Parts: sequence; structure tokens; C-alpha cells
Amino acid sequence: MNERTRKKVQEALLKQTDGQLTADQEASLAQLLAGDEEARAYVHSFRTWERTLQMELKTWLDRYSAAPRPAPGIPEKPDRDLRSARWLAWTAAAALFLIVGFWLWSTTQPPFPPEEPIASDFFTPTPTAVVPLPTTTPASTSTTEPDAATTQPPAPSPQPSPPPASAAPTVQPLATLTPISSDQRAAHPLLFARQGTLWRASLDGGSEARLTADNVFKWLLDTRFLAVLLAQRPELYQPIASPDGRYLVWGETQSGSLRLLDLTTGELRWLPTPGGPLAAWSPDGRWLAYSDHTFRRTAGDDLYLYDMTSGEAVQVLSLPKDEHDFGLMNLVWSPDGSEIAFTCCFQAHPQDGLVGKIARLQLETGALATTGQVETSIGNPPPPICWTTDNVAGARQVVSRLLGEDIAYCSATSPKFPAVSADGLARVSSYSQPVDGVLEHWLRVESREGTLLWEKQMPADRVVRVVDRVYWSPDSAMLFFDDSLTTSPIWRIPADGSGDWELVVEDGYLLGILPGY
Amino acid sequence: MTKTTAADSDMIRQAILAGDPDLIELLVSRYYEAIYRLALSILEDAAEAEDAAQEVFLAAARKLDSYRGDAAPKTWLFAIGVNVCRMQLRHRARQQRVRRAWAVLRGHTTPVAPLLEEIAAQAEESGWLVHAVRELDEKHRLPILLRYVHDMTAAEIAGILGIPEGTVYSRLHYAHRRLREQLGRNAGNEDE
Repeated sequence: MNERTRKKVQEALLKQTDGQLTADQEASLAQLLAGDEEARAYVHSFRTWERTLQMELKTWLDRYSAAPRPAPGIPEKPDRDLRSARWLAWTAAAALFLIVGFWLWSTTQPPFPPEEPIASDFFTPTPTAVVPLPTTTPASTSTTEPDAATTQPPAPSPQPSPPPASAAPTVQPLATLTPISSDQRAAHPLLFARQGTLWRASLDGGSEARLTADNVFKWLLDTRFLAVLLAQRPELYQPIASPDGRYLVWGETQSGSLRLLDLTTGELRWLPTPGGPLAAWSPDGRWLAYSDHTFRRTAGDDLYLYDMTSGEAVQVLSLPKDEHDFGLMNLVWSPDGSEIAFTCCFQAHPQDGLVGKIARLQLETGALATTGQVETSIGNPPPPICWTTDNVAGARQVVSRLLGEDIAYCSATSPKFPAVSADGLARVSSYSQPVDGVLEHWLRVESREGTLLWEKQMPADRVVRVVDRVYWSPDSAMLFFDDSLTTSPIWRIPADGSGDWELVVEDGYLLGILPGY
Repeated sequence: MTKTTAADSDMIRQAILAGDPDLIELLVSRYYEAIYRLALSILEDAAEAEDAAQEVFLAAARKLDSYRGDAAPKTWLFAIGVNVCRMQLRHRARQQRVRRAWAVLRGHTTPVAPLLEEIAAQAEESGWLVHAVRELDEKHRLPILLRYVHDMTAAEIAGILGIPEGTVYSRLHYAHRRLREQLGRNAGNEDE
């Protein structure tokens, strides 16, 4: 295929994307492709290249534009001195307001328990008190199918009474879910989305079952849009399955609110408070913690717990708006469900860029304390955190995605990297690195103690973006992953590294491995 | 960002042609974010992009009489935006030349220029692909940005840049080829 033909094909592909390809041009393109394998390969390669280019550029710009800046307004161009004076005046007013607010608050509220109180330096909780909650039950391993008709009545209200929840959740049954028996579910534990439709598949991909009608998730799972969002902040937009696999929750990309889908009934709810695309299930699946974080917001973040049994939300924490607009991020439950850790309260630091806190909230007592700090830079999201097995929240460097000695041991119930096998003996992570200008994606498996067991490059021609999550099979024998595009394959490989990559589903977006619900 | 539909676009077009007194507010509320992102993608400086975005709407207010309704309002604003950003790039280049001359006058024998290490660090931070796009000349970089960052069709790009549609395809083809060549090369050998 010479350069001239390449140029013609490329022009036709661009026109095709724009919807400008005439019937004749379409026909001649099809004719060319039918008889020329090299041309077909070129088309595939060009489309992949375009996706990568688009994703990289948009991700870069999204990160850039996520940095704080003045709100848009009617054009006016005050000179820089005037702007500086205004900025100083506003800063002084805000500081005065915070000082007075904090003084008023501190005279009416008991202090947080003494374990390294956060308010000491730059964390300033607003007057909203932490609401103590009843102890959550330990992580359940039951695979009993929940039944809406037999759910227990709402748990007794915690003391003191929670603030009133907002309006009741809007229930919008999809009525398009295809019911499947529990036997079928057990045989099809792989949950994935394809072109806006939910599917389940067997672990070898040999058998598939469709769960929803076409385009239910179209708005969310548009490949191009989702890829950009995921590359920007994967923890915000990936649908998260409840531990029992019955529910799926995800951040709505347009409004920033949370949606909750009951996979058994097709019932679709909005969470009862304007929420943000940030949520985390408690290990026992009873509570859904979420924040009302939205980008470029004017207020701080509130943390809510949504009770799956009563359908009510309780506000447990309110944070002031931080200087760099990250707010409350990286919600993670402790493995025993008694605490929630998160990052917050970023401030500029002369040497280290932006420095934020890792905070932990004890749900039974309402105690709030910090356990460490995380560093990032303007325009980049805060590094994810996860829990070690001994319940100490630790930070993970996100820069290279390479694992080091300081990496925490993550909970198996919160599939952030590194993901721990069900038997707890190994952990898996993924990292990407540019080699000769091309990004290579690798999988790395370590023992519980951190010894490298094996690492292997993922299929170079088919994995086109960073792999954010890897899943273990329930028996810890296989590893599953994809690159979060709905048009690329889901892969598996034996967890002992003995075999090769095996294609399980040709095109799908892996949501989880849920043998139970 | 508010998504602008075709009907919306028509409504705004009619508002412009009818001389609606609230027009500038309407344009700002609908297109400010898109114009800011356009400026940010070209200028790579948040403060300059903010200024440029404001300048676009000021310029639009001045040029309302010349809007004939041929192009969609967004395309029209993008065309203004690209010109404002180009002027800003020229201004920046002039400033850079003055700074270098000043550095030489003050006794620095070598002009102020970014070190290779700084370039490599910048590339590492933003990704090699973004860096490669940054290295393209303006003629080829703008079509790539408009196409793959701002989702413009070839016809829209032609309207914004004031060039024939066929030239857009040629420039995109050249830019793609150049980018792939550049990425195929060893990053360590890049010294252009």
C-alpha cells in the first residue's frame, strides 16, 4: 500500500467519521478493503491510533483545565494590578470568615478525639457534626440471593438522630432486564458492558447472556467519552458492583449524580441527595458511602451513607471547600467496615507541590483523625489510597504505577490497585511505561510479602490504554482485565503466570466477576 | 459544560441576526467553556487562556454585525478564538526574542533556551504523544487539536482556519504521519 493510497483511505475514514462519505465513496472503500488485507490492517491501525491520540490529548487537556481558575463571566479585562488587589481582598475576607466561623464552631462543638486531630493545622471541619452510626456487620461471604420482599425493616436510627434525608429516591424501573436463574448466574459470573448493554459470561467466555436491552448504558458507555473520563479519574466513573453483585452504582457523567441499578429487578434509582460520581460500598454491602463532590463547585464536600435496607441517606461529614478543589476523594472502607478513609484538604507547599491529608472516620464513634499525607501537583488528581490488611490507610504513588516497598496492601473488596487474591496470598497490579515512544502495558504479580512472582507484557497490539483494574477469579486461579474500552477484548491469564493471554470476550467493558447475586 | 444542540445553535444564530440585547451573556454561558478549552489547548497557559477566552467574546461583540449566519455560532467563535490565540503566540514569540536578546546583552553568552532535560521532563509529565503534538508546527498542530480535542469535522476546521477542505485532509495526513514517525523514534535521540 503506497502513501497515496494510504492518504485516500485516511481521507475516506475521516469523512466516514464526519458522516460525509457518499454512497459511491463508501462502496469503493468497501471494495478496496474486501480485496486487500493490508488495507484492512491499515484501517484498524488508523482507527486505534485515532482513539489513542484523542484519548491522550483530551486527558491532557482535562487535567490542565481541572486546575482552579476564575468562574466564567461577562467579559471584562481589569488590569493585573486590579486583579491582584481583588484577589488579596477576597483572600483576606475568606480568611476572616473562616477564623470567625471556626471560633464560633469550636465554642459550640466538642473537639474530635485526641488521635492526631486534623483541625490542628489546615483542616477545618465545618459545623456539621459527624453522626455516629450503628456498627456495621462484618464483611459477609454469604452468597444468599437478596430478596426485596424479605428485606429487613430499616435499622433503628442512630443516636443522635440523623439529619433528615432529602427527597425519596426517584425510582425508574428499566423494565428491560432479562431475568436469569441463579444457576445461570453462577455459570456466568463475568459481568461486562458492550455497546451500552449489560452482559454476563462464563469465565472462559464460551457462553454469554444478555441482561439489558440495547443502549441502556449508551450515554455512559460511549467508548470515546468514557475512555477520556476513565483516563482522567478512573475512580470516579467506573460502575462499581456491590459486594454481592446485586447492585451497580456509577456516577452520571452529565449531572455528576449517582445512579443505582438493581440487577435483579431492573430498578434504577437516583441517590436521594445531589451526589457526585464518587462512591464506595461497605464490605457487607449494606451501606453505600458517597460524596457530593462535583468539579468546579462553590461549596465543600459532604459525605453521606446510603442505607440499602431503608433507602435513606445520612450525612456523616461536611468538609470545607479546599483551596485546590479536590475536595473529598478516594473513599475507601476498612476491610471490617468500621471506618472510612479518604483524602482531602490539599494545600500548596513550596517544595512538594500540593500536599493533602489522609483522613479516617470511625463510624461507631464519629472520631475523625489523620494518618498521613499525600502529595500531588496542580492539574493532577490526588493519588489513590487503599487499606492495608491491618487497617492502616496508606498512600500509593500513582505516577508510574510501579509498585514499591511503600505500597499499601489493598482490600480485595475495593478493586483498586493492587488487587488482592481471594485467598489473600498474592496481589496483582498493572503499570504502563513508554519504550521508544510507545506505551507498553504490563501486569505484575507479587506475593503477599511483596516478592515479585512474575510480570508479563500485555498483548501489545490489542491493549491500547492503561489498564486500571485487574480482577481475580473467585478461586484465585485466573486474572481478568481489559483496557476499559467497550470495543476491545477482555483477557484472562492463569494467576501463576504459566500460560499465555487468552481472549475471553472479543469486545466488552469488564465490570466485575460476580458469582453470587 | 452545557451541551449545545443543533436547535440551540439555530436559536443562537437567530438571536445574533436579530440583535438580541442579551446575546453576549447567552454566548458566554453557552460557549465560554469550549472557547476556554480551545485557548488552553493552543496556549497551554491557564491565565493566558482565560484572557484569550475573554478577548474572543469581546471581539465577537465587536464583530456581531459581520456575522452572516453561514457558520454555526460555535464555529464562528472558534474561528475568532484561533485568531486570538495565534496573535497571542506571536506576542509570546516576540517577548521570547526580547528576553533572549536581553540575556545576551546582560552577559549570558548563550541565549535562554529550555534544556534537553527540561524538555524530556515536560514530555514525561504530559505524555509522549502530547509532547509530539506540541512539537508539530502550527499549521499541522491546529487541525490535530481541532479534530481530536474539540471534535470538529473537516468542514468545520476548514471554516475555522480559512482553508479549503482538501487542505485540511492533507494537513491531517501529514500530521498523522509525522506523529507516528516521531513516536516510533527513540525519545532519547530526539533533539529537533
